[in-house]
Amino acid sequence: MNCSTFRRYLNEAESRATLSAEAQEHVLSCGSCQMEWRIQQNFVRALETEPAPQLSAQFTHAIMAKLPAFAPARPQRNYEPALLFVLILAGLATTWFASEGLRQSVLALSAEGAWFTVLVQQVLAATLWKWRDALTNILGEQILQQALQVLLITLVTAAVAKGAVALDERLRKMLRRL
Amino acid sequence: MASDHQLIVRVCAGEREVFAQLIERYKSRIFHTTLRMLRNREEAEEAAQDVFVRAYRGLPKFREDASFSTWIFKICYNVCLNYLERRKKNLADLTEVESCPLPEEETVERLFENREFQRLLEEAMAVLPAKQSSALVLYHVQQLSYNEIAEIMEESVGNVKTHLFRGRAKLREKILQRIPLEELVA
Repeated sequence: MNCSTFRRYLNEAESRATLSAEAQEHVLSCGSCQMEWRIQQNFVRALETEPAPQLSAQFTHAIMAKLPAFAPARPQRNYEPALLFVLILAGLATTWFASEGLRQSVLALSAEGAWFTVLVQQVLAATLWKWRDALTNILGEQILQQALQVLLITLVTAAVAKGAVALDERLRKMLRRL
Repeated sequence: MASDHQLIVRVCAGEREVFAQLIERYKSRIFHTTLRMLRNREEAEEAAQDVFVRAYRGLPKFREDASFSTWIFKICYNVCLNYLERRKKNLADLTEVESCPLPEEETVERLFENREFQRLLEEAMAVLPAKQSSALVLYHVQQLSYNEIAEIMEESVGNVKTHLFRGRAKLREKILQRIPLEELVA
């Protein structure tokens, strides 16, 4: 071990009181590093032997008096994202099975192959204000309307679920206060 | 003796008074840390109380697989940073950093065990940047590992080592201005 690796060792060693055999060997042969080690030891000892301060007798009582009257809620898992995911899936599945026209149209498009690539290309090519026309050209008026319906149903379902979760949380808090 | 997690479950189940056991368990270490970081007894006691109040309010967010000790020290570190930030806004406070009195019964045998050196150390610690003094207190006074300190300070282990290295170097520089090197290594 040389001087620079020893200095790095002094900074990085997890052990606070003892040196490794290799470091000890270097310290015995190098006056400068020996001085560095003794200075650090003295600092560490002074820091680690600082007397523990005494707290006022009323410390715990003062904190307990500051705490809210109700206990904090029990740690619990947050099921909200999973619930929303399930509801969205349920909304999509319901729409899919309820609409024969939508199913047939999508299956027909899939059968043509590469429809998604064409869709992306045309949508990207279309100007921002003509996106609806582009989608209508590709998907057809009926599919577009049905897709928008699915999106709307999904959003409404998600909003209702979110509201239900928020309401549930508020009711729990009210009950805890009671 | 009940574990921290068992006590937390009881507190969250409505046994509010059980929180006092957690306070008793950690109050000395938390106060020691706030005192070393803030260097003002009154402020340190107030900060330590804030730590426990915040911990109580935050118990629902406490992860069951986490260490309560690391978690509460993280709160402690953030509370101390807030106090230091607030103090910075008032420049007058910066000139009134108190020394922590040592117990009367302390024996004076060696330079590094006497009051004069402790006082110099206190003064030198008081002017260190918050991150360096925090790292020194958490490592040397609270004996936490690099990983725990990194988690508390939300920094990498490498940064923690750098704060420790720079903090120790600055302490040494400050104290060497007051004590001859021969005495320091005696």
